[in-house]
Amino acid sequence: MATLSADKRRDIVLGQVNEFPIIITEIIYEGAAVGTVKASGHAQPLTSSDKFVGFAEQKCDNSTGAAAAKNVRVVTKGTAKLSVSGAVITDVGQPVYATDDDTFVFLPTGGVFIGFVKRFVSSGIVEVQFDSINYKNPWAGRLAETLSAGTLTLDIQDSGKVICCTADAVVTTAVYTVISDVVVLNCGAYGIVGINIDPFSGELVQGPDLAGTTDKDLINTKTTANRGDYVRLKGGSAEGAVAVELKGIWATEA
Amino acid sequence: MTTLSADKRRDIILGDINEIPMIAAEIIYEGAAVGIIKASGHAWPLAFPNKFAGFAEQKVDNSLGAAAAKNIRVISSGVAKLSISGAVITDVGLPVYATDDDTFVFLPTGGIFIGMTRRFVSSGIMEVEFDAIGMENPWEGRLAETLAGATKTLAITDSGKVICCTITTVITIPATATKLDVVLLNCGPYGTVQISADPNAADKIQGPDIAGSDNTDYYNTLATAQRGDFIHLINGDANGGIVAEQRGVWRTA
Repeated sequence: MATLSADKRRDIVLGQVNEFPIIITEIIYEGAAVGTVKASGHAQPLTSSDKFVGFAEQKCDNSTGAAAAKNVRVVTKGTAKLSVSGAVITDVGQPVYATDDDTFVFLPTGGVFIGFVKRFVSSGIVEVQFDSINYKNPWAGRLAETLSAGTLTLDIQDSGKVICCTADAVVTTAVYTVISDVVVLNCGAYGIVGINIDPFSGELVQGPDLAGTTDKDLINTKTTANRGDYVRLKGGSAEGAVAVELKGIWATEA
Repeated sequence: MTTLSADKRRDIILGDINEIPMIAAEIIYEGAAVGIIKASGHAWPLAFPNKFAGFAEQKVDNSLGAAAAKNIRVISSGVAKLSISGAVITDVGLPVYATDDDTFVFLPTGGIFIGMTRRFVSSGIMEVEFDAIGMENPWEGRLAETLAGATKTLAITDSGKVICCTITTVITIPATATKLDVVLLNCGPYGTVQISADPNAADKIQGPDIAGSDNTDYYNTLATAQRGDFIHLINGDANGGIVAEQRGVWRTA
């Protein structure tokens, strides 16, 4: 280490604009969500495997150019009015994902995290606050899986997942000896989706000030359930699964 | 999915202002912490368990109006000088919670996350950096509980909690059969609160480069203990509790 013994003038870069070299033979249109390709660091219209870096400030036509022949200029931080499928007034604060450069959704499955809803404008239209460098996907590191049926029985291979429920769902826990760690996430608008965590036969679901009852569900009460409510369940306790994180209103079945 | 094949002009909204429709028959005063009611998406003076939306830029009187008859205009991100009970100069960088529209505290118990302290001004007064949309409560998802006594024996129903210690405390860890997952959080100012995690008889507490020792506490050294120091403890290993995360200076006694 060589600590300073004299002043050192740092270039402090102001503003919320960034530039990235663009991939070969590609056009990025104005307003596109822009992603960087992990292998090259070059920019392209965002795809599900990219990192989001901002919205294109103007069209960049590199359709006949080599890789990095041009730079795309992006706005990295701010608030953008976007069409988000299913958005309603109770969705302020929800994370938003992009599945391509112009499709925005609430489901994390197959999407790239963009930002959070700041303001409801009208049905399906919201203002989204984004900061492509600093904001973090709440489910980063977990594999998102949409629950397509109304029931699911968890197993060890669900560990590390966030199970996204878009309709009423009954999720049955694995036997207590399965040391799993899974998140069950409500992805329905306010009051639309109810989730029941059904303990393995003869077991119960415990958690913070939740004693649980044998063979009774832990329920995300449907009337007050909100998009973003979730429970993080861990296996391994002899009585059954344990809720180590909860958001929203959850109660043991009567 | 429809990828772009032509330019699309995005409305990029500048600034840190937001507007939210208000509930019926309510006044929000200038400077109030504003909350959003989950069921309606409407705003009012912040109350638990709302989502914090920002600080009211000016008074809006909807006392005679219907729901959404008026909008409240808030500053959604910035820095605000706030009175925070017990704040001292060593509290920079800590999360701040509101218990109503004008009461700000360090204890997460029953509070709504507002932002992080940025600068100490004077005793009990700090500048707080907030971003109502982008910042997240460090204890999101956990049930915060203030420890009322100097001792506590944990149970499985403490799993998922963050136990907030405001006085010097000895917390006893149950036998390894109880597979709990809990956070022990120091909520006292620098050098005033010691937390000792006391393993069950014949157990120990292990963790990152911590071998542990049977029947020996793992403690947050009083002289250097800081508000915000914590351990995330997972019980269930055959030898006793495991420290999965920690902040601050902790030692085996």
